[in-house]
Amino acid sequence: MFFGSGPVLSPTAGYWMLALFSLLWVGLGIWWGRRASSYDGFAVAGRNVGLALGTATAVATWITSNTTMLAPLFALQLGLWGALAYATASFGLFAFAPMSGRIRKLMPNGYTAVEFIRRRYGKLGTIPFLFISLFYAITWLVSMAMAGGKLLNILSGIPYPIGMSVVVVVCVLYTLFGGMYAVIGTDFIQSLIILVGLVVVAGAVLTQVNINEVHGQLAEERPMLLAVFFPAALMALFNNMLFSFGEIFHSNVWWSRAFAMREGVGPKAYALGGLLWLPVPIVAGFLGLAAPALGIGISQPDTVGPLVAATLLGSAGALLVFVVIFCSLASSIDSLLAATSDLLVNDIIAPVAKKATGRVSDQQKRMWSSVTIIALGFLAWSMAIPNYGTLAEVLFFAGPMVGSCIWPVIGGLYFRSPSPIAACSSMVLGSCCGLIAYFAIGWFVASLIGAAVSGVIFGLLTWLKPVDFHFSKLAELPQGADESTENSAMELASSGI
Amino acid sequence: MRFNQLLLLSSLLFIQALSVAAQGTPEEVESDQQVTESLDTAELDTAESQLTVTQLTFKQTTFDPAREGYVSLEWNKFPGGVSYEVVDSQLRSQYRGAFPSAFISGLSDGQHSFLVTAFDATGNPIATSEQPAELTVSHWPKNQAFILFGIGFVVFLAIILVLIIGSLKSSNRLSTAISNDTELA
Repeated sequence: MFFGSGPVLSPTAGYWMLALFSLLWVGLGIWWGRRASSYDGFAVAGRNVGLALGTATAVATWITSNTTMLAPLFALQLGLWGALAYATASFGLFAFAPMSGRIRKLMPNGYTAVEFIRRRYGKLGTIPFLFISLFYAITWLVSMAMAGGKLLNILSGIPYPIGMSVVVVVCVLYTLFGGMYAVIGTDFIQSLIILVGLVVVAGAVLTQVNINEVHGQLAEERPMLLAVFFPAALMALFNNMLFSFGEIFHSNVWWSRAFAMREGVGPKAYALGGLLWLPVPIVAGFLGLAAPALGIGISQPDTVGPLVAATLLGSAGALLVFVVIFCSLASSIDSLLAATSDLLVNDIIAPVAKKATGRVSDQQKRMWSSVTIIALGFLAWSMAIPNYGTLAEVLFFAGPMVGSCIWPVIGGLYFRSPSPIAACSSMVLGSCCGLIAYFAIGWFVASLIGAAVSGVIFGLLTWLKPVDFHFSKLAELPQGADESTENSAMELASSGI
Repeated sequence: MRFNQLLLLSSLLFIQALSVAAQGTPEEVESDQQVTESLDTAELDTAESQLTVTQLTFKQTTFDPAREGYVSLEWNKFPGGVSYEVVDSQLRSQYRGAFPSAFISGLSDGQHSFLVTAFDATGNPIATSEQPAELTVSHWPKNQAFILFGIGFVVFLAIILVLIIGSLKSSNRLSTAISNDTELA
């Protein structure tokens, strides 16, 4: 049998699947969007998301195109350690579980992660944090738009620009109509499809692959993929874990969900989400390891997982892979669009408008959200069109920056003494050193160096120049808030948490 | 750019299919061969020069030392070539597929060289690269890897420790605040 000779599905089948799922997501977005009448509803789903939806949205958002496409790439590049390194990203969800409970408690009326940094560290901390947040959000969006285009091309031969454009437009449309309600609602369905699909694909692949043969062939032809002392892979292990910590701790995608969940739900939902996510990259990574042994020619390494599954399982398998990855892409792109739009509206546009006009209404914020979602979609589309670099190259460039945010976030969330200068210096110096490591050594150490340098600077400056921050300031309300939310903020302020 | 490449690939495949169809029956092919034998020297020279123009070659034949043990090889599309195979110096197949590029990973320290062969629609080899792509793999020093692994482990432990201490402290503060409220009530 001749593998890797071209797309497994016909373009016609690909276009049909694309049309079907596009209609489904946009339809569901409009259906759920009926409830998003207020800005609170649109941005944080009324702050009333329960455990089932909360867990599903955590799993669906974290099973991104990166999980299904980068985990096999990691395994293909860095062997067994690579697959394991990717799986450590679940630790980020476990670590964020207790944090989400505290975030919800400290900021019952909050919207964004940048809002926390602004109240905790002032302008000094906000400027680098806002820059990093936006940079990361854009690179993640672009990497996923690229993944959509590459996937459709490799599976069905649909030209990259067309596939990529459809994926972006569909996600923009349903996020635009339904906001966070649509995002979390579709995430629920998408997480079910993804998990069932992955179990079926994994089971079917395992029945067709002899693990001993895979091991034997790898040991003979590509020995480093099985080596215990694979230097680059050893360096990548904690790098990936710290990258995931940085991604989750700083990103508004996760903070907006913490605000959207009912009090007490966040810790359970994130911990459960981490548990459900943990086996996914291991299964996906196995596909990457199996490719060389099965004689499947790999041209674009970031498409190895879908290509192996689709080649082994034929047209039916390709359809399943298509559906699983389209769901995982959509569930992450919509989350990013919604969360980044919240960030732009609440932390940039609304403060500027308030300074100019004195008051900002919910209706105005709702309108700005729509405009920013469209603008973000257009930006991601225009940056993904050149199809430059692999997904890992695009995403891991943001690694050192997000890695340097870990300490300011956890330090500021739990302790009174960290100061704005400690937060700012650690983010700036951590990012710079991490980027130097990115170019001097490689992507597989950049987040690690960023997090380590940032930690040393943050600890040192907190020890040398401590402050006495009062957490009640985090619950303060903007002017014009209604009476009930003001009372809950007053209760929190008086509790002295 | 990708769209253009696909269009080009599709066109090449289409041209190849047409040329296969145009070859006709074996008898016709034999007859064609007889006609070819009667070609004069000038025509043969022209054909040879055309072959020279359409050699199968790697876009890059030498690389910086690979520290991670993987490399991406690229070569030109060969007219009539519908699939390609890359083999290493021990003639083990490292890639077989339709696209003119290959990602090869898991290589151990040392010199590695690769050759690419183009195959036509019937699976016959029609061209092989004359100059191999040569790569030296020299993995990162193990000392450096272990130091960075250790730093990562320490940072990870520190984060977990800070989270545990922070959670315990904040829950203590919350309990104190609740007991104060109860006393006031």
